[in-house]
Amino acid sequence: MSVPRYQTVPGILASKVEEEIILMSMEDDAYITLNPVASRIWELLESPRTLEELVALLMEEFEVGEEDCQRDVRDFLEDMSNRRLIREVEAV
Amino acid sequence: MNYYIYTFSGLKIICAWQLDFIEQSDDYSGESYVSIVCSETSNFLTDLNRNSTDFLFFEGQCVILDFENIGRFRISPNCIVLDRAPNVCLHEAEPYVLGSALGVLLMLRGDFFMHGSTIFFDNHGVMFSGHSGAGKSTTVAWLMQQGWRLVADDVSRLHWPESGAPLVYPGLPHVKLWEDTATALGHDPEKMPRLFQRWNKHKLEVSPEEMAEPAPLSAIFILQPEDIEKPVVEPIHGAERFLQLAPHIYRAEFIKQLGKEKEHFQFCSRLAAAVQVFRLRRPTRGFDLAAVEEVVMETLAGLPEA
Repeated sequence: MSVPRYQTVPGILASKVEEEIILMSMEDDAYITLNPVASRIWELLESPRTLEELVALLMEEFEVGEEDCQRDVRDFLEDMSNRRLIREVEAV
Repeated sequence: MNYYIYTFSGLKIICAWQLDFIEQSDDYSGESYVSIVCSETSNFLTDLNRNSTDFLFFEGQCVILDFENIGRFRISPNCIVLDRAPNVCLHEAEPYVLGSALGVLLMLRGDFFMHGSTIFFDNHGVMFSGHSGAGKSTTVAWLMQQGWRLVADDVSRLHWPESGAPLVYPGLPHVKLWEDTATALGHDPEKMPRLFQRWNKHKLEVSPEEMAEPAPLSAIFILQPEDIEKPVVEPIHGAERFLQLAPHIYRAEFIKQLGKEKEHFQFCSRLAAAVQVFRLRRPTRGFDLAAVEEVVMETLAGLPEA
């Protein structure tokens, strides 16, 4: 079974203030602010990554258990995909 | 035809009539002029369907900004054409020309005025922003009495050097004060020119010695009147800083209509990343300006050297 990889949608306006990223969703006409962990995920998704890759990288940088991290990353990917801010790219 | 040259907020202005607020400039350098003219024949219509007092609409490539009882401004990125309402003199229109009309012109260029008053003291350029009535001009007028120098009242335009903090260009040499505020600060409103016919706002004139050069911006205080006893300063960090600055663009209500959301996002992002921002909660009643000054000074003392 192939594993999906995710990446940020090109052309989304993003900026960083201190450790937090702000995104502009033209579709919803809204700003979306990301906490430091979510901001890091956004940065990592500038290259295509699988869920497992993201979890492994985040666990190196933040003090978080694998189970919590998996759940949070999965929720984030789902939410951001629904808002069309990230998308699935070619599978590995 | 006569024309007059001015420098205002870093803009070169060539105007078809003599402006009241600014001294003529003898600096003809630079190229990005804004021309301001008055239409020869009045086409002013009064049969528009209005849903607010002043509003904006498109006519071909131009934007029309309409002020009831003042006139209509036809605005493109380099030019403002004023079409006056009957019996309106040019001086009455001047605050609108140098305020809202120029604000819209800047937006067409992807630039913005911050809705804030900037003042300079001890190497710090400090902007007080906030909604109308938050106390921007009042705070600035008080601080000027304590020896601070004015950079710009009400609207502040930024210049971005290649590195470091943005600078604020000098604005008009006056501070706009309500009559009761002027009185409370020890001025005599009778001796101060009135700025608008419809509002009781007066012009506190500022001498060239009391004006500062373009000033590097160290901090922005967002004034917030609240039901509290004493003023409090709270630093704003991260994404919240962006969110707090975004509404305080001058005439922000026009950004969407002009399709400048992207430029607005970039402007606020850049500013939020470059400048320290604080919320200055101050008592709604009994606006104790000395106490405000004290918390501002304490905050500035904690900033890195400009």
